[in-house]
Amino acid sequence: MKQAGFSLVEVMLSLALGAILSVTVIQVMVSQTVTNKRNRALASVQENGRFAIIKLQQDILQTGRYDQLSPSLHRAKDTAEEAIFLQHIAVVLPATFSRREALGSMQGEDGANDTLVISKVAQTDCRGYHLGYSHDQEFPVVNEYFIQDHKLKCRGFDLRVLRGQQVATGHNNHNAFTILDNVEAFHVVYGVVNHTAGSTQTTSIQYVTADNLTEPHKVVAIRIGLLIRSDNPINVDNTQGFAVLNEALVLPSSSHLYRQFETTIMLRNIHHMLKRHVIS
Amino acid sequence: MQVNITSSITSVKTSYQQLNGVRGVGMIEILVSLVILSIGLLGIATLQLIASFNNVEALSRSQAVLVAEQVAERLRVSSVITQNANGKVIDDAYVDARLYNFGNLSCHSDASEYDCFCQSFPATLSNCHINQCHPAQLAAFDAYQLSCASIQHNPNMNLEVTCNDSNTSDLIACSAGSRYTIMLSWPAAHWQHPTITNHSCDELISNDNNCLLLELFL
Repeated sequence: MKQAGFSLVEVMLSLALGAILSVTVIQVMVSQTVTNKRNRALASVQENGRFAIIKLQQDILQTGRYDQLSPSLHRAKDTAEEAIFLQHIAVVLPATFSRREALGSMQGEDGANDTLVISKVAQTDCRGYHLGYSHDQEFPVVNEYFIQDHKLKCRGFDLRVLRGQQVATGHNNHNAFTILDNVEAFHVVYGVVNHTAGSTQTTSIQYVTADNLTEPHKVVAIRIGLLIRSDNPINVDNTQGFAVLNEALVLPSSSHLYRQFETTIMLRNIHHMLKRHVIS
Repeated sequence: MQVNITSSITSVKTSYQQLNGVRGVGMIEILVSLVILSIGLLGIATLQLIASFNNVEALSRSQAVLVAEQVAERLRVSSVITQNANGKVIDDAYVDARLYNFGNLSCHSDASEYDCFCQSFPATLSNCHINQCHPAQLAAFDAYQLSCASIQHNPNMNLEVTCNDSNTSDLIACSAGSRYTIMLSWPAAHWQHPTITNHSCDELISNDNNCLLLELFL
């Protein structure tokens, strides 16, 4: 009945081997977690950026759209007059409407965020509201995009209400909806074209900010720049600065992941109407 | 009672005798199994590495899509209707390879291309934010900005705009109706051999690249 136990050396050795094994496994797990966190941040920022760019692109692409022949257009007002009016204010500047003086595209001072206001004919405003029209009817709408508390927000107005032609309905107290969170910067520049009279070949373009925009009906392209931040800090050293469009270089202060997105959108309607000298 | 105790002692004896026949695991065996296990763990670590390579690749690709779309849009903005043919043309400078990837700029320090050119606007180019730009100036400006956009997240990204001239007899580089090709290429991440060579981008650049092509008619 004599039982032989493990000797001290054996116990020590097995302990040491066990320890090495568990340290390795823990190391792999820890680095896995760190990588996972970074990958998630990268993926979500990329996804957010793409979403915001595509969402803005879809709306801005139709800037200045006024199809007088469209069967679904709501025709209670003088559509010929309205078409000319809308084409001249495709990019809306402040003090266009006496009912809402402040509504208009603005350049933020000293690197502050910009505001973009465009007009077009659509079935809904940028929030998906019909503003009192029936569901299949098109009406002139003015969409406003701006930043509030690091959120990209949007709201829409009925152009006829802004002009004082009718009473506003179904606008939910002009509440703005959030399109995207964690937006650090939102900047817009406007490509203004100058056709030299008599020739279609010599055109010159200048990209200006909203405060330098004197002829909004000559805007043929809009460039948008977004700087988007990850939800949580991921302990990266942000050594690279970000210069969004023509703004000054900004160095991120926190250890979040930052990514810059930009896009150029040609305003088809304005571009073609300017070529045909419909707008003057 | 007596009988019971005796039988239990016998059973203990038998089991002890059985145990006595079993040998423990030797040191060498444990070490060998450890080595095998560590090879397995190495595999997991490689998996992680490959996952992040793939991630980077996916990010480069989606960034390239955004840039390519922007190039297409800028070509459209700059296009004008020709007087002598039925269609649209852009300034010849848009297909000048020197204007892309900072071929027309020089850097006097060892800094990265992004730090060197993109942190501030180069003095030798015409800044279309401040000045009215003629088509050729706008082409250089667009090429510069798009090159900056392409290297922002992948410093090895290369941008090319070429056209398949529809009428080679005239002096215009891309006559009306030409097919434009926008190509963004970047070195493929190696983690396995052999890699599949991508003919559409390796035809033009001799390295092993991944690329994104966008073809466009104005």
